[in-house]
Amino acid sequence: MKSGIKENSMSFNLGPELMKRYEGKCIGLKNGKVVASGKNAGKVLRELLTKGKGDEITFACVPSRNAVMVK
Amino acid sequence: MTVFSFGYQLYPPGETEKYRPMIKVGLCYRESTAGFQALVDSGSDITISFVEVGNALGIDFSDTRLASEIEGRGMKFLDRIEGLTGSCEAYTAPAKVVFNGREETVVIKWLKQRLDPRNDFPIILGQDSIFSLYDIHFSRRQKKFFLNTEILSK
Repeated sequence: MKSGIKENSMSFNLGPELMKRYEGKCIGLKNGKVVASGKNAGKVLRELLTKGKGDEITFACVPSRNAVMVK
Repeated sequence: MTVFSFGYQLYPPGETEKYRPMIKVGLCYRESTAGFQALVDSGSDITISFVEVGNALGIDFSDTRLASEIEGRGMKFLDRIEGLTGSCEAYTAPAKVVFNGREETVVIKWLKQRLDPRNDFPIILGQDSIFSLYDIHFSRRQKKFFLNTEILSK
């Protein structure tokens, strides 16, 4: 099934640098750069929506080192 | 046939590394739109986010017209979600979810608990959304997962 396999532009990867710097926080990215961060998700997202109008913006959470995720 | 390939992402950082199937989706409500980190979760029946995310996008969960609209469709506006780690109240409200340019209206359960960035994801995509749109193949061995636009069958 190799033909027709595409890398997708919606791939998501924060990368080790961002993960290390913003561990345990929400981050707002505008065109790939962090423009908002903090522990309050609503506040970070509102700031991102304000600063990022018209640009490509992404909201993400960076988990903590010892997080155990059972969803 | 178009197959989109995604790499698993390392979560969380450091010694306790786990690989998660994460993608980025657009979430739109009226005039507000943003990309969100989303977990692709085959173990979830529903698609979940948080009230504070919905509020920031402009959803007013105290709006009685919204409540009436949802109840009129035969759904509970304020519901209780049961999971492996406990239960939580959640509002029911639709929003547009955009994946790779494809826009779908998804009924989302918005959890009435604080989003804890230490161990929560802003959106969890469940069986009622992304799994209804794509055939999904998870390969932990390759650390990749694949979304197929066509129905896979024998």
